[in-house]
Amino acid sequence: MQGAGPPGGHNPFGGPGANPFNAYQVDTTAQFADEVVPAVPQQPAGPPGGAFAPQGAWGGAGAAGAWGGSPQQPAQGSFGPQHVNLQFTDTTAQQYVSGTMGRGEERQNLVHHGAGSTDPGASSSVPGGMPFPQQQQQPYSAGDGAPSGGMPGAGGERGHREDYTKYPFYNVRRYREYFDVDTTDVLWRVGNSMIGVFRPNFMEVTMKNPDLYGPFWAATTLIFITAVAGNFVSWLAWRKNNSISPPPPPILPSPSPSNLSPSPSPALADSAGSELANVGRLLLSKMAQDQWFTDYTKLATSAAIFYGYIFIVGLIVWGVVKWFRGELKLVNVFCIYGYCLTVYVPVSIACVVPINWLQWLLVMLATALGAGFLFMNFKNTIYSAAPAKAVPVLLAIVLAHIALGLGLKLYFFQY
Amino acid sequence: MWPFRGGNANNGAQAAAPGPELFQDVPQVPGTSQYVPQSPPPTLASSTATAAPPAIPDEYTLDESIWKTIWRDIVTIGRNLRSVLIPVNWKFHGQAQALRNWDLWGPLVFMLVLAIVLSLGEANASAVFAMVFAEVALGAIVLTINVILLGGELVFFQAVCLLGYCLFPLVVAAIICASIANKWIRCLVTLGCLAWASVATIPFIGNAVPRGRKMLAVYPVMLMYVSLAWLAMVKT
Repeated sequence: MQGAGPPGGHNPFGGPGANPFNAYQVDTTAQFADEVVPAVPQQPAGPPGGAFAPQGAWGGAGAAGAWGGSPQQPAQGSFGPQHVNLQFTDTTAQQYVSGTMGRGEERQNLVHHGAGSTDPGASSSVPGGMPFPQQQQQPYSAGDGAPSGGMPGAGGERGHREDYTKYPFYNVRRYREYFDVDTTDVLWRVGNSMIGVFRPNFMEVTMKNPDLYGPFWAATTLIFITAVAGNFVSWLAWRKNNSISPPPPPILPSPSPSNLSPSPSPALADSAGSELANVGRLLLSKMAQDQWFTDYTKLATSAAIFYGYIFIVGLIVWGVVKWFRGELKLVNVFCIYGYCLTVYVPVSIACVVPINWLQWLLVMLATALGAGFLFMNFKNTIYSAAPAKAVPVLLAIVLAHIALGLGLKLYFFQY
Repeated sequence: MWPFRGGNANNGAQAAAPGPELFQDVPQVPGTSQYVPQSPPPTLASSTATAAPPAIPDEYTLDESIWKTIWRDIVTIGRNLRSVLIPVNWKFHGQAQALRNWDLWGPLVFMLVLAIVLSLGEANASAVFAMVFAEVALGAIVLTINVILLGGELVFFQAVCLLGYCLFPLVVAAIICASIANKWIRCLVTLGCLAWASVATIPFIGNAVPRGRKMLAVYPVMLMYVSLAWLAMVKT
């Protein structure tokens, strides 16, 4: 809140008495959630006083409206968790905290924050720019601590789910539906995508709650890892070249990928003498150093290939299934295609080892796993959609994946 | 200056009748470290302050000198930098509190410096510059959207601001690595700066999302920082 001073703290804009929040009449010494408004409305305001008259009802006696009258009706029964629905208003974003907070939990939170815990993240969330992350249990609040039911990778099945369709299409929050997974869900999906040939239940588990988190970050991870690994290998080659290459004339264009662009400097140096040769060697080594970063086209191509494989091939598969009037959501297809790329992450790291047959073995193994994963998971859907054409469609899916694997081996994991 | 400054932009509606808060981010004594930037609203702690605020601030920004304006921005950057990157001494006014007063000047400066340092002396400097700058700028935006999509509630520009300020250790690492040839020192410096950036970022990002998803929110941040640190480390 702009210009408000901490209790007893240092207020740069006025004396100890200059608290524009006086107008709120907030009883900040209260102990429980139904007695205190945990955050004052975040409206940077005009002159304190009359402008805040409506909000003044938030504090004190007017709190009944905000809490649904629960303090007034103790006879209604439960001393258990009361439903608290708070709306934080900030001028930059709307923030909501909706959840069920019991008394004990609330007291813990009070103690936690009041003690000024040393965890910077925990305490930093209090002053009001952020809502309370510990209490914020957004997509599902009731089952947050409870063990999740059902399959481990299913996700989004616990508690109540927020209705994301209340947001307009241009609001990012509308697409939370596709990111409604937990860490355990994502780990399960990644693991299942690697052993999918043997336990083909990925499609069933993720049918209700497909996510786009995995596909996006799997592809992005692959892009970064291929770039960094390629960088690393050419750095090793450069160091080897530098330390091995004998001094003056014989600067042979080495077969390493770091010398893709043989500079004309050796020839020039030979003709012009040793000084020029030194310059040429410097230039060449400089060029070799700089070769680390020259695979930008490679970076762009890898982005195009990984994102494009998920998006375009997924779109085609979805279109084909739809053509046969099958039941399949586009997000499911993206999800499955994205997760089938995760198996390449360890492979792309392992391909740093410069043994060609090992690289081939690893890439082909990963491709076989991925293709099997796709095959087993698409089998039921496609057979039910188009029993007659199922074999060619599945074959096309597998062949496309094998083509991807070959392309990766021949172009990317070559380093 | 709207896209680059957080504090005053919030007051657009009240511009006709400027309250004292309009000038709240004007430090009265610029540059002194005693200055406590923004005080939190009295939320759960007790507050006993009672009096009327001063009616009119003594300082207007309209007719001040340009140097003063720039100095104020520099002070804001320094203050945000300190509160973002040294979160230990800020018990109650933590990162979030300082970030209420977010600005994008600092992230812009650090992104530019990082991209320039990493692209200095390269064969194709412009391509390196473009890639690094695009990575950090798009990365901050994508990471913020990622956190929001995972169910976290963040103020968009605050998070972009924080992620930009957390580039500062990497800028330090890049500059040191560009000037030191010893590879062990480079490794140590890079790892230290990476750890510093992570310590500053991870609580903020991790606490913004629901409990079971911290790893999902933190992992992309680490992906970006590790790749940037890698670029810094292999820089000659």
